[in-house]
Amino acid sequence: MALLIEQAVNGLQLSMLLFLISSGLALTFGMMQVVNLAHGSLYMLGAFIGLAAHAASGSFVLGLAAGALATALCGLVLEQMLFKPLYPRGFHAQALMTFGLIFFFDELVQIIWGADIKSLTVPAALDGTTLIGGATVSLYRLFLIGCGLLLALVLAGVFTGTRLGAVIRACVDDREAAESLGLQVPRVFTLVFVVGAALAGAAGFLAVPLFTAFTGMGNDTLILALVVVVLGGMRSVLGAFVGSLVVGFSLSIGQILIAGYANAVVYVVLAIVLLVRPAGLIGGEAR
Amino acid sequence: MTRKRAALLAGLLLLIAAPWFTTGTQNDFIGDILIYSLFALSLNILIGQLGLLSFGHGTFYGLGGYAAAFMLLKASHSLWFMFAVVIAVSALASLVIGYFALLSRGMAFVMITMAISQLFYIVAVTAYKITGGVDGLTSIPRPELFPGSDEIQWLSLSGTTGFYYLCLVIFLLGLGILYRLRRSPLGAAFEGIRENEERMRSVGYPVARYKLIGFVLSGTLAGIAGALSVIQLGFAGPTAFFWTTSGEVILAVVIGGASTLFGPVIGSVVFLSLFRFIGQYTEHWRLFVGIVFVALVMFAPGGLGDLWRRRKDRAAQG
Repeated sequence: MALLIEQAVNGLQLSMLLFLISSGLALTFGMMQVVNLAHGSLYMLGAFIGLAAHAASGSFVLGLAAGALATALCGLVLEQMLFKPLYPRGFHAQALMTFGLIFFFDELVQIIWGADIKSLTVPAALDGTTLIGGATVSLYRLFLIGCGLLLALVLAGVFTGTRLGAVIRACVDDREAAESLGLQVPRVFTLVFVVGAALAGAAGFLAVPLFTAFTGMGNDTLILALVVVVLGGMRSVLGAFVGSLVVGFSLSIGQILIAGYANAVVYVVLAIVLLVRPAGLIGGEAR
Repeated sequence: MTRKRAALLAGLLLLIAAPWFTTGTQNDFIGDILIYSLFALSLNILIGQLGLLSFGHGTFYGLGGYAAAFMLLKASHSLWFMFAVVIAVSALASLVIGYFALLSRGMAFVMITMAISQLFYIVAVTAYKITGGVDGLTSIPRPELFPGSDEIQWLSLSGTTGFYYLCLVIFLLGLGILYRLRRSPLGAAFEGIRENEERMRSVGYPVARYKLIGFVLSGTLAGIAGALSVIQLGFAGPTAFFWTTSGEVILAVVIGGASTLFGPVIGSVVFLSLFRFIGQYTEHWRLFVGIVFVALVMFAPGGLGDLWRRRKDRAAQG
């Protein structure tokens, strides 16, 4: 029983962390259908800037806030200068441009913060373990689960219950109709993008106590986030939530059963899902 | 002869004469450029001609490399046998992978190719007993042109010069194949597919089959390039399979220009030179490549080749 709970917590924690990481991508790639391979770079920036803020202030909360805000700002600049001109040019150009960004950011981080692997100790309030049904569970992991669930609730609430959510959905579903209704589509896109970036940055910082921070950390995560979003059907944050659960549990159970090959399962699933939807992901309909 | 032909001939002569006026490492570097160019050229069948953005081309580069490694380490030292196996493995892999990957279009195709590449990466890293894991396979011996018999000194592939000429020959062969392909009906069909797939299909072209042919050709050439790379280094590792490797060769293709024959070659020269030369002044050359690449995509999507052509056009008009 204790083992089961441990596994459930492991799977859930991994899923929620994945959700935190991919929620931003679900917004930009899933909903706005914008390809941003540099999502992993934003994740990385959030980790490093957050770490710097934490080192300067000693506060975990400040680190998290700094990470999220910095990446939000970065997202704003990127969206206005680089993404906006490329919206009409399609995914080819976006994929290429954002890959160039990966190069840039990977190196930038290395220049500013060096090539060492950085770690973060869990804040005292979250350090330690607790007993649930006989299983020893790390408090920090519970904290992450809580964050993920909270985020899911907030996003769900915004999208289904607020006018802003409806506006976003309108702009994303049918840009022209939204514009003719008087909605400020470019501003909405910018907002969604910036929020997506902030989420990526926050996730980056939150993940450091578990995964450490290093140059190129986004490159591994990006693929996982892509899988989650694609699995979830692309169109909704709920889908990404489900996708995170699927991937998170597959990975944690897989690690027990097939050890190193666990990650491979994720890609196999992705390939299968993509094959089942041969028409592609951008545009929806068969070309 | 035209200026272009003269320039090409001069380039060819320089390449042939290279070992006489370069040092060993410089010669190796030119060999690296030739190998990487072959890799980029093979990708351009997909990107430039067929209009397919594959983010997993490293799969075949890596497979060719590991195939060469296994052959040289476990089987014979014969160059010919090694190449036969490399070609067979790459062709078969690209046939199977291509068949499934090409079932999807657009961004899904990008992601499937990426996923497959990553899959191979994980297998290569995890199955360390076979593949050497993260550390890869080392001390791979050079193949022999005439296995078993006494080595003819100047034809030996163990040294820089011999191997360099092997790379040059294969590079020229690859270039020749691509040149003929571009001018062939098949090549024209490829471009037609890139421009308007639906129309090609409605006119009766077997689009799916053509795409697969292009994919197999592309993958096989990439495998050969990967094999050469492994022989050059004496080492085969899993990084070839990591998706960023595929991204880098895309960079090379796009920098040089995907629409011309020599574009990928130019891009490879630029990319590897940046690595080597800026790498001497700052190890942060990736920063500049990133910026240049972003700028290219934003302002000159046709790459350097396209910029050059536009300058020529403007000069002709003005």
